[in-house]
This record gives sequence, structure tokens and C-alpha cells, in this order.
Amino acid sequence: MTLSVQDITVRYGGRIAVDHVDLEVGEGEVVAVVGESGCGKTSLARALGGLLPANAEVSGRGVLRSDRHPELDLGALTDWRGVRGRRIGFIPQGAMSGLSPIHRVADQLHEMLTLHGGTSEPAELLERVGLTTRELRSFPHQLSGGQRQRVAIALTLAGEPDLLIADEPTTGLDAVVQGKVLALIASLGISTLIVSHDLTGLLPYADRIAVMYAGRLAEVVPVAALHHGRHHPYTAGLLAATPSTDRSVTWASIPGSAPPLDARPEGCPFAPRCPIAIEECREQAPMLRLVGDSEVACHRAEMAGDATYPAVPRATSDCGMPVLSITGLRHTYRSRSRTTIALDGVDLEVGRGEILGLVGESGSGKSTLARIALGLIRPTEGTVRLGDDEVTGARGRRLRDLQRRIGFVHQDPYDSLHPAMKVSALVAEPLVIARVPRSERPDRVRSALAAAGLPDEILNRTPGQLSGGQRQRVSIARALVNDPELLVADEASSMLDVSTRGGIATTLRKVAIQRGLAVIFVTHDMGEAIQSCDRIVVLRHGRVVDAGACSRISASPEHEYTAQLLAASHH
Amino acid sequence: MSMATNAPGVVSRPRRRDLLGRQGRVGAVLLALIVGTAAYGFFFLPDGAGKKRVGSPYEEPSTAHPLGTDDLGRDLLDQLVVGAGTSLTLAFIVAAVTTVLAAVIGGLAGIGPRWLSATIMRGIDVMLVLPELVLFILAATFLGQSFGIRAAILALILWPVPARVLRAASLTAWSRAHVEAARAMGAGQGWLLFRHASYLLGPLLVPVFVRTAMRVIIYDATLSFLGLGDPTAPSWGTTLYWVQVNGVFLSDAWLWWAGPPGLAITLTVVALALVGTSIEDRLNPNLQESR
Repeated sequence: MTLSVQDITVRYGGRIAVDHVDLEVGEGEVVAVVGESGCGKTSLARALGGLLPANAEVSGRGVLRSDRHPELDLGALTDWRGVRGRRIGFIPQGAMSGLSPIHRVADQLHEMLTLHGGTSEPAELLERVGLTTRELRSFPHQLSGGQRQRVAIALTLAGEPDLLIADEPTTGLDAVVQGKVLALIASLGISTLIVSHDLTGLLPYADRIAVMYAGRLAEVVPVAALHHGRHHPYTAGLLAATPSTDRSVTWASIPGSAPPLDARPEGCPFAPRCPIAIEECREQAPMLRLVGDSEVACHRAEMAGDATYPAVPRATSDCGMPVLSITGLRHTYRSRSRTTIALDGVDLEVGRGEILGLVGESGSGKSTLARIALGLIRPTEGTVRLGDDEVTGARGRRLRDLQRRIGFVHQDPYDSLHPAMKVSALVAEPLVIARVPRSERPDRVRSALAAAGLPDEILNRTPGQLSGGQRQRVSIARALVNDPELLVADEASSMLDVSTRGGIATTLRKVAIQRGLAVIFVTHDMGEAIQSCDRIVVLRHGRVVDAGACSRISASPEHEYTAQLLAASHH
Repeated sequence: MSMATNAPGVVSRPRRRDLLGRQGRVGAVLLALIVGTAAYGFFFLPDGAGKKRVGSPYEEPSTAHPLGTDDLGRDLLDQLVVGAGTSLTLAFIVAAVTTVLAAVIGGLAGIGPRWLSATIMRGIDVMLVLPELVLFILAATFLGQSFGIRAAILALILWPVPARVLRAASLTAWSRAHVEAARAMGAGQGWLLFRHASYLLGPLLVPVFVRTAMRVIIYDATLSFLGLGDPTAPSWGTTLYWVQVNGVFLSDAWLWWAGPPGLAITLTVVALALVGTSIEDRLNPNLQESR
């Protein structure tokens, strides 16, 4: 055992973030701590690295063993110097943007080697992370995101730590690169603890998975046993909620959302969302016990096979007349020194009741396309038509009238709602702007809220009192309230937890069917697009490289790049 | 869908921010005392206080004249109190006008068309190169020293710096997601400004106001001290001008003649600075992060 921690608890001013967690990492083992936002996984990782903020209290025992150093009691540690870096290597969240912008890679590696008394050469370290000596002389801005993340890993290796802790090592990277970085970390041969929200992404690389929910361990399971045997209903839910690129696998969502820190329910914290919960679950918190190959904290683990979650529906009918048609669209961004071609000759059409998936990695031009469709950016060339009207030529009042016929769901649910407005005012805003008579507004707001899957009770709340999923539904309700013809959802679920993504897709599908709405669904996740859309357009460097029905794209991708994206969306 | 499981109020509202802090409260109390003094002078002192001869020249402090009298036998305490009114009124009027100017011009530069923005920004750059104080002294010398003219000149000189700040702030506000969402709804510029950007920009106006007031007090005192102010209206700067002219520093009289107005200017500026910086520390998100 390299690391064994018992009974670790982290409190922030009385609010429990990590609740009596036991965890072990074996020699050379890769353990993944998986959970959704607010489950305590980052607090756990920081506690192990001694990196918690001053207002946090930690209790519990932890022992770090290795054959090169004496045994270390982490609980009794007051001075982390000589431990962090030499014994425990910590790769923090967003490590790749934490590199010094004004020092060459070689100098940064040198600094770490001097600091932690490492004996290797900078070139050797780079070689271990799959880079060449060419990168030694580079500055971070000359490297790609994946390369920078590799440099960040090389920095952690400088002190030859016994244990590596990586907090969300793949955030901000494109899907194809994510897999490569995880494979690298797993191949280092060091005992590793990876903290992540992406359960399925880690499956090929981890040896054991620890699933956390509301500060507690829900399950600890060897990866080999994950796809058979009995599991915690939450683990099963997480697996079902990750969209597969195979159309024959259904995509589901877990209803509700994770409880906030200060409102943890009595008994099993997952009980309010669990499809097989009984009275006992609500009264008594389950302890971890051995079920088959895994440790599960669930009273009903034997029944867990019966847990079914609501599936995301598919299209029921063919799509109708085209609502939006784009022809020959080109757009270039010009700055003083260079011009960037964001879109290079794009044609596409969306019909009534159809959901069009716009898939691409960062820099593919998908967001630019969405903003041109919304009339927020005027394209360099090409036309956009909404029904019979041209959006591209419109200005001033005529443009604003056209924009009122398009709904927009922004990517960021935490910034796209005015923090001081109540839900009722937020949803009514498009009506106020469009000068809809005051008497009609309440009814339309209510029906839009219902269509977005929200109860009337939240009308008087402000966004600060809502969860991320609820905020995004408010955003959808606001987009629907003025009966638009087209809905543009720009990465509408990318900032939400896995368990709630399917719910948003379900809602979009329902409104597309019920209201005959054309939907443009922008996403970087191929699996999500295949599961929730009718047709997919794959963008790369501003060009359409592949387009067609979801089933066709998933079964026989025409372009090599589509195949790459499919492969990167693992599972 | 168990969306309503979060009872209202479960997610706690952000605590009401303490806008001033200890440092700011000290400044606010100090400022309140000075404003109170000015108000006393305005409401309770007879007309012509500080202007009329009430004793013999060069009197030392006594119960009748606690700060003594000047070379014309005018009461120095009266001058100090009346001067507080003059200085503060000018400071607050100019600060208000400057804030409005800066908000309008900075806002236009932020959200207006590109040519307008470029024109305004280059204009501001030119203004920033000119030395403010020298410009003020020259303009006041040639255009006259009346209260209105001095206020107008100061307002015209002081707007460029805050306008730049507010332009940057409005650009930031304009890139916020909820502003973009409203723009996509077909909202006009006015709606975006008043409904969506006002709560982001409004708080920034407070430090602009306070900082401008601070500079006005110093500049106006400087002008009067140089003898370019209105010699008939008592003000802190004018008193100091007469100190200089009469060579008061050669005798002990500087203690009660030059000391009080000098101290008053210092205290007012310190009070405004305390209030201004502490409000800015709390409202400016860039500064908040580094705290």
C-alpha cells in the first residue's frame, strides 16, 4: 500500500464536504475518485496534498509508505515542505495554464529539480511524458494544450514522488487529447490518485474506481468488475447517463440534482434521486460493505439491477419544412497582425421539429456559426435565411424583430441569468422586449416553464437559489416563451453534471416535437450528439467535413476526423 | 422530476456586503464632521461672515475670535467654516458632473460604433498628455475666477481618466453571458444598458465620484493659494494666499492662521481617500480577487 487514509473528514465552517472517507492506493495502482460537482472529490485530493484553504478543518489518519523513504503520517504533518513535490506529486486543476509564461520549459524543469533535489535531466523528464528535446527551448505559449499538460506532469515528476495526485487532469482539453493524457499518467508506473467527473473516460486507464456522492464513498470497485455484478444505483446511473456513440445503447438521466453542502438529507444521501429507494434508505445511512467484487454503500445493492432511469427519447417523425438555411457562409476574424478564418464555406439547413447536432472541437467555428445564426455576428460572406427572411442583411429594428423569432440557450448557466432578477422576470424578459401585452405574460411564462420541466414554485426565486440544471432549464424556458421558430443551444449541457445532461436533452427533444421547433444543438461531445440529435454536421477548421443522419455517422463515418471523434468519445 | 427538493433559502443568499470596512468608516465619520461644519457655516453664520471686519488686524486667538483675525481684522474661524462650504460645494458639484461625463463618454466609447470609440479614445489620450494643473491655472487666469467657470474648467479637465476606466468596465459588462443572451433576444442598447449592465457599472461610479472630489479640493486650493482664485470669497486656499502675502510664517501667527486651513485640506482629502479606496476595494472585482 502506498497510501492508506482512514476516516478522513473535511469541514468548511461546520459544513461537511468530505464525510468519513477511507481510501487506499496500492503500489503502482491507479485509483480514480469519481463524482459530480460538489461531491467532495477535490476537497479530498487537496486534503491529501495539504492544500486546503485556511477555513477548512481536516480530521482522520493517513499513512504514506514507500521503499525509498520512511513511513509518513500525514495526519500529524504540520510542515508540508519536503513532502509535496518529493513524496506526493500534485497536478492541480488547470495545471497547464499554471506554467510560467516567461520562462522556457527547460528552466521551469530545472527550477523544480533544484527545489526537490531531483537527479534526472530535464530532457529525461520530457522524454518520460512523451515530448522531445525540441520542446525544451519552447515557451508555454508555443505549445498546444496537450503538450502543456504533459510539461505540467513532467514538473511533478521532477521530485520523483511516491504518489501522484491529479485533480481533473483533462479539463480544457479536446476529447482526442484527453485520452492520450490519461494514458500517459497511467503508464508512468507511479501510484496515482486521479480525481475526475468523467467516469467512463477513466475506465480504460484506472485500476480501481471510487465513486463519491455528497461527500461519502458510494462504491469502490475494481474496473474489471464494473460492467458486471451488482453496484450502487448511483454508479449504474452514472454509466447510463454517459451518452454512448452507439445508437442502440439508450441514454438516460438521473432525475433531480445533488444536494448542496448544507442540505444533505438524513439517511442515504442518494435516496431522494434513487429509483429503488425504500423507507430504510431515507432513515439510516448505509455503510460500505462487500458485494461481489466491490464495496458498496447501499441497503438495496442486491436489487440494484432493477434500477432504471428515464431514457432520453428519440425523434418520432420526419422533419418538416426548412426553418433556417445557411448558404456559402464564410467568416474571418481580423486583428492587427493576422486574420483567422473561422468559417470557410458552410451550407446547412434545419427543418421544423428537427434537432441538428453541430459537432466540433474548440476552434472549429461552431460557436461562431451559432452566433451568426442568432444575428449577433455579421458574417463576411454568405446568407442566413430564417423562413423567408434574410438575417444576414438585416440591421437595427428589422434585425431585432428577426432575433425575437430565435431562442438562445447560452453555454454558461451561471452567467447567462441576471443574478438579481427573479425567475418570473427572467423568463418574461423576451416578452417585455417584444412588447407582448402585460396580460398575456403570466400564462405564457407558466407554459414555457412547464415545457422546460420546471415547477411553478420557483417563479419567485433568484438564480442564486437554483442548481445548475435548474438554471439551464430557466434559460430554456426563456428561449421558448416567445414561441420561436428556431432554438440555438450553444453547448447547453457542457457545464452541467453528467447525471443532469440527459434531462436537458430530453427537454429539448420534447419541445422540438411538441412545438415543431427547429433546434441547433452545438456540442463537442460526439456521444451526446448521436444520442440526442436527428442529423449531425461535423465541423473542422471552419469546414463541414461530414454531415448526415446520426445512425449513419455513428455506424459508418465518412471522414477520418469523424472516426477520430467517435473513437475519442470512448465507450 | 424532483426539481423542487431544494427548499427556498437552502442555498444561502450572499451576505450583504460591508461596503466601507473599518478604514472606510473612519473616513466617513471624518467626512461627516467636515460636511457638518460646512452646513453650520451655511445655515447659522451671518451673511458676510469671514468677509467683514470684526476686530483689529493681527489679533491673537481669544474667546471672541478663537483663531484670531487676519490683516484686515476678519475672523479666521469664520473664514475656515465658510471656506469648508465653498470647497465642498465645488468638489461635489464638479465630481457629479465629471462622473456623468465620464459615464456617458466612457460608455459610448465602450459600446458605440468602432469609429466613435477610436475617436473618443484618441481624444482621451491627448487629454491625458496635458498637465491638468497647469491647464487649470491657465484656463482660470484667462477665463475668469468665478465659481461657475472654475467648476466648468475642472469638470472638463478631470473626466478623461475615469472615462477610460468606465469604458473598460462597459466592455467587460458587454461580454457577460446574460447581456449576450439579452442581445440575442433582440433587446435594444438602452434595455441592455439599464436592465443588464447598470448593476455592473453603477457601483464603479462611487469611487469615480469620491476620487474626483478629492482632486478638485486640492486643485482649487492650489489655484486660490496662487492668488488666482476669487479673492473676495473666503476659502481655505484664499486664506493660505493671504498667509503667503503677509509673510505670516515669519511670526508665530502661522500656528492659528496657516495651520487650520492646511489641516482642513489634508483631513478632507484623507477622508475622501479612505472612503474612496475602501469602496473601490470592495466593488472592483479585479481587486477583490487579490484580497
